[in-house]
Amino acid sequence: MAGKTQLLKVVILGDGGVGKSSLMNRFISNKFDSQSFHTIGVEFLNKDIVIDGHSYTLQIWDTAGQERFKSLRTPFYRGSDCCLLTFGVDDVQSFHNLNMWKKEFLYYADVKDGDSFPFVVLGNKVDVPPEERQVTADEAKLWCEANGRSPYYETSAKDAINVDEAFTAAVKLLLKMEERVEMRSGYTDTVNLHKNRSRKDHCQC
Amino acid sequence: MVRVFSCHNFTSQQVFSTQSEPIALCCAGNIVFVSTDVCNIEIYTIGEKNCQLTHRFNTIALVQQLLYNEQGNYIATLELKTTRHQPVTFVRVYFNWQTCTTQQPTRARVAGQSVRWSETTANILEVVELPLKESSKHIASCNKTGNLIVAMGTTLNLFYHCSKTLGSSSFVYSDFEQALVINIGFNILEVAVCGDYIASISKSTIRVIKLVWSKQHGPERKRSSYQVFQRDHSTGSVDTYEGDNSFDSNPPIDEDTETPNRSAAVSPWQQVVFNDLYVGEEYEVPPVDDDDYVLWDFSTTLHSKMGDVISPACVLQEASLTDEKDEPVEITGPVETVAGQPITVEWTRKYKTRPLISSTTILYKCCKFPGDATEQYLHSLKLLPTYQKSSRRDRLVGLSCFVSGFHEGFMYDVYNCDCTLLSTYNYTAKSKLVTTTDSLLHAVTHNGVETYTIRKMAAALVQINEPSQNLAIPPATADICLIGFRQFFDITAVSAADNFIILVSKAMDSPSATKNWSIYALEMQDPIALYQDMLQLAARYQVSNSLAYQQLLTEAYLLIKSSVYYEKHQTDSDKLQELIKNCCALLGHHYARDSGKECVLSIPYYKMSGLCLPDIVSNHKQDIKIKESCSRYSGLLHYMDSVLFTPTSDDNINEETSDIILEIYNTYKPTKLSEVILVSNLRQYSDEKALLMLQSNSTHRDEKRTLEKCHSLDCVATSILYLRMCEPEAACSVLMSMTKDAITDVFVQHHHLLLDDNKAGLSHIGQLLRRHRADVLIEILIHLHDNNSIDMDRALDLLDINVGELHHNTHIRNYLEALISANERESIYPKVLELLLRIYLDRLNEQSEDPFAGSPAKTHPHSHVLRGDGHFATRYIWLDELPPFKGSRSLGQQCEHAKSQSFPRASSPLGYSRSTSPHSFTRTSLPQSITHGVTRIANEPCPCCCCNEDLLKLQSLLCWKSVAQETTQKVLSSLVKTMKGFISLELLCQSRLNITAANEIIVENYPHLILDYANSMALWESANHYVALLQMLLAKVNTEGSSMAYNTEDTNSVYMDQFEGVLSVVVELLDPVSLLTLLPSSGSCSFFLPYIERCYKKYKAEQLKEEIIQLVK
Ligand SMILES: Nc1nc2c(ncn2[C@@H]2O[C@H](COP(=O)(O)OP(=O)(O)OP(=O)(O)O)[C@@H](O)[C@H]2O)c(=O)[nH]1
Ligand SMILES: [Mg+2]
Repeated sequence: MAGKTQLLKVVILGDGGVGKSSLMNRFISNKFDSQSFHTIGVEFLNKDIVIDGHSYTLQIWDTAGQERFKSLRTPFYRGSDCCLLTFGVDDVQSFHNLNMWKKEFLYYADVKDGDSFPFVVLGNKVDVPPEERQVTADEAKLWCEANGRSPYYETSAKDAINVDEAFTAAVKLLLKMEERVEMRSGYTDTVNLHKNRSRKDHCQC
Repeated sequence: MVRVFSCHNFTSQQVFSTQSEPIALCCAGNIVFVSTDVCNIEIYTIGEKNCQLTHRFNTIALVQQLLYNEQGNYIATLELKTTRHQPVTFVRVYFNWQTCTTQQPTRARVAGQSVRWSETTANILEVVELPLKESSKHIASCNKTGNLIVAMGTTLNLFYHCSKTLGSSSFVYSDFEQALVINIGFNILEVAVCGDYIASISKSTIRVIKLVWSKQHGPERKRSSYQVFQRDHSTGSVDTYEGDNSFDSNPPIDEDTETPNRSAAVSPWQQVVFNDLYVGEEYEVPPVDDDDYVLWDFSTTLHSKMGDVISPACVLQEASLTDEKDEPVEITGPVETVAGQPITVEWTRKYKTRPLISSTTILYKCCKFPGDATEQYLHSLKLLPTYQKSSRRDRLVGLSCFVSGFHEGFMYDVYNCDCTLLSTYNYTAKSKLVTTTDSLLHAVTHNGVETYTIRKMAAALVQINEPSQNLAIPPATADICLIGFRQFFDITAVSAADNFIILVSKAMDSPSATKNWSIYALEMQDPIALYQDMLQLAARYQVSNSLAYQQLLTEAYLLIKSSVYYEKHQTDSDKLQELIKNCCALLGHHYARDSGKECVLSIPYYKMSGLCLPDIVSNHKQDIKIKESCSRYSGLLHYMDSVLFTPTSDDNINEETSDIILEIYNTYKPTKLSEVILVSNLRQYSDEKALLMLQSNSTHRDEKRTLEKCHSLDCVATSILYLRMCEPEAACSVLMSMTKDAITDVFVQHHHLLLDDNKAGLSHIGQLLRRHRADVLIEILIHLHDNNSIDMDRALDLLDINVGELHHNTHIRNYLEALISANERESIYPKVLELLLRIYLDRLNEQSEDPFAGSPAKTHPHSHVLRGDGHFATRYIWLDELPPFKGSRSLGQQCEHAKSQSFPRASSPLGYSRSTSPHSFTRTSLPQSITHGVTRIANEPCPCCCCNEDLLKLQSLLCWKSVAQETTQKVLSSLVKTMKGFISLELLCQSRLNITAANEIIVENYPHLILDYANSMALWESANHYVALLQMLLAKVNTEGSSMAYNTEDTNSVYMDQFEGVLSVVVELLDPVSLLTLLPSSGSCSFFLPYIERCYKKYKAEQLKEEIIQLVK
């Protein structure tokens, strides 16, 4: 794929109302709408970005955070290159649910080697007044540290804080992770076969 | 065999380039969909001048293959995504592609999941992913049903395309339901689907099957509250889906019978969809308390949960052989199974009540191909349907299946499960890709694009045309033609739009930094222009190579026919229809000149051309005058026969044309000439010319000594022409030269020749025949009566029943006599009898006034004594003893008239024997010497049969077994005492009306005939008649005995003899007591005793017999 634009699939997950759609809108069209609706199902949009002189197309998948839409969103985790786990800094429950989101993602994305998958954690709505804030940066960082040292970004879709940075960081992380995977195992058919088999085994359990 | 006629050129070429490197493409109408390597699809509209990018949308992954479906208005893709170095394939369907932009989000869902966003806008680009667990190789869709089929390994997954709505909302959305899993048994590389027909290929094997729906269903369940809709995309309206027992809009039963039993064909879809589609669908994930608890609900599509395998037991027992065979095999169906190649058809688990479904194999072909066995040999699989448009729904009328190998392509007709190889395409170089339009095939080889004709239309025409219309259909298996070649290199993809062939060309070895690809839109030749080019080329071959000429005409015809049928050029419809007619006319002319087996095709082609006979004749006039030796004009003759001898077509053909037509027959089919003159619709030819032709013809014929039968028709024709030209003598002499049988044959076959134009009277030839060959005419009329051509009343009219006196009309008498002489005509006896009796009585009456009237003068040996043909029964023998006969001998004796002098009799031209003429003649001009004799004879009539023909016949008629009483009554009342044979006639009548009276006559006047008379009476089987006669005789004997004085001894003994004779009969019939009461008390004992004894013995014998029978019982 040298010389060609690489398509990267990025999935944004997180509880309903944490601001996933708002983050995507801010990133893609640099807009914010305070009157947004809950997302139903899944939608995606593409955005081209250049990192270190290489161009990439980010295929950003916005999902419905509400529990009742689980069956609609999970089929589209497969083939993801990166996952943004999002919570609202003003919503402690959404922070607690990150565990569930990560687990759900790894299961449906059919990712075997969860440790080497690039997750980026976003604490959104940092623009809220301090008194409404329920999750501190330290709490969040602690969780990230415990979860594969995922990078953590405090963002605001409303005020356009850290949004582009977070997405760029996600891509960089992904590239780094890929490199690491390449170095660790190389891609030989043997490995692929092994992987296939292990997946099948898993299914039969 | 492929013929090469270079006549096709692409009219224009546009080149454009996609923004990113193209991977795959497809077309719909004149829209081109190109997938590129940056995960998007670019949509171009090709116009006359330029190709315009109208839409572009992002796909989720790299599109390897894409297709557009008309019915569902969707773009289906086979996508490849490599994530973390693992390639994964997806099959996705994009809806609302017209409204798409790259700026709007694309909504995604999985097929079969119920949609929750009914409230929000429906018009954003939507992608539906098919739930597949294995890697897919190829996809195909059916343009009529919208169904999608996915090839994965050795199986095919059929997804049913449907429209759904949620509950009470009006939000309708398209969806797919995985319905069937079909295991083909080999690794499928390409697939095609059309209704229930499915074709698939592996590297070197092709298999075409048809799904067979059984009417058996599982137990029916209650309907769910969901409704399923089939969206009508053309009108935008939504109707409740009413499918048939098939994937196809045209169920299999419809192909065979015109009126399918709709109620019997319950839609399997309707049933399965209503009953089971959403079973287990409306679950909600239970609240997740435990972090480790995961409900994985994707399992509904797992193969382990598939429905039962439904396939014939024999298939299950079969073991699958190896994928690729060593030996080439071809099996053309329909066959249920292919040994070693079982197929299974399974419903997915969702469908719980489903009709049994199996498959029929239409084609199984394993090719042996040259070269590397790892290479893919077969490619470009296609199913090419032809539908007949109708208001209710389109009917599938043709289905061809195409598949290509490296160097040759094969087109099969697979319609209705019958498999026929239509054409083999031998390319000039190794092929890579093939695309087809409705009338042409474009094969991409290493060198360029080769354009061939196809036979899809020809194969479908057989179904489209009503057999009753007798239209010509070019044979679908006829050789195809290579009609064009265009050089191209590095073509990687090809697709056919409406008016364009779209090619993707990629230079493989150019530096990758630059754009090394281009897309070509080659504008196809307008059918009209191509048609004209074909005809131009054909014209060059017309003289030198008639086969090539014919082939090009046929190609041109099929080309135009296809463009009309497939409705691509509606605006030119009239013009195209005109061209079809022109082409038919040319084909008609071609076959007209032909003499081979196919020459009869001139008839349907001329019919389809709309030309009339004069047009056609004038077209050939020039050639015919030259008398080309190479053309035999058999086709033209067939056509002319069909027009000239069809009663309904009343072409008003003028004299000039008529003469040419006769000339054509005279030259090319002289044996038919007279028939054309006599019996065809042709009227206005010149009689002189026709006569000349016939005469020259007959001299030819005499030399060649051809059949007598044709000759006799020629003679009749000649005679008729003479009559028309007012030369009756010549006409007569021709007629007289013919044998009776010859004349009869002709007129029995062509009886209308006897009738005049109003069909009221005899034609001129009929009259000529009556005058000179009356006997033949009567015979002909009898034949015609028997074959129901001319009934009796009509014949009597023709013979002038209403002119003159009936009993003088010999022809009528002869005709009637002939009619009544055969048992087969018993049904018309009463009518004939009435007339004949009148005739005979009138004649007898007349003869009583003039003894010479009606006496023929025949000298040659003959007999008028009738032997009992038909109604003419054998006369009773005692009639010969009654006057005027003097015993049976007297009948055969030579006529006394003839003995004395056979005087000349003038017979009237029309056969009347005018009563006045002989009458006055005898009275006035007989020589004195004879007059004496005549007088003598007049006093005592001649008893010969000739002089008593009428009497003999009348007696014979009355002797028939079952003459009605009214008839005899009528005869009796018309009898005149002076009539010859009066007494015999009276006796015959009375014997049926009043036996006593008859008995009295015979007893009084002809006692010596009493016994003969009594025995001849068939009626007299009962004793009563004999008893009555006996009593009458007894009385007679008594009186005779008492009045001996004036009776001779002779007379008395006669009576006694007869009395004894009658008594002998009576004795046999009566019992002793009855006999005794009958006998006179004064009778002589010695005389009667023997009789009484005989009677008693007989009586006793009978009694004994009774007793024995009784005992035995
Ligand atoms: N103050 C503030 N409000 C925000 C921010 N981002 C989003 N919101 C608001 O949060 C609400 C929910 O935002 P969405 O983007 O719809 O949330 P979501 O995660 O997409 O929710 P689901 O689609 O239901 O999963 C909206 O009212 C937004 O205006 C932010 O950065 N700051
Ligand atoms: Mg949202």
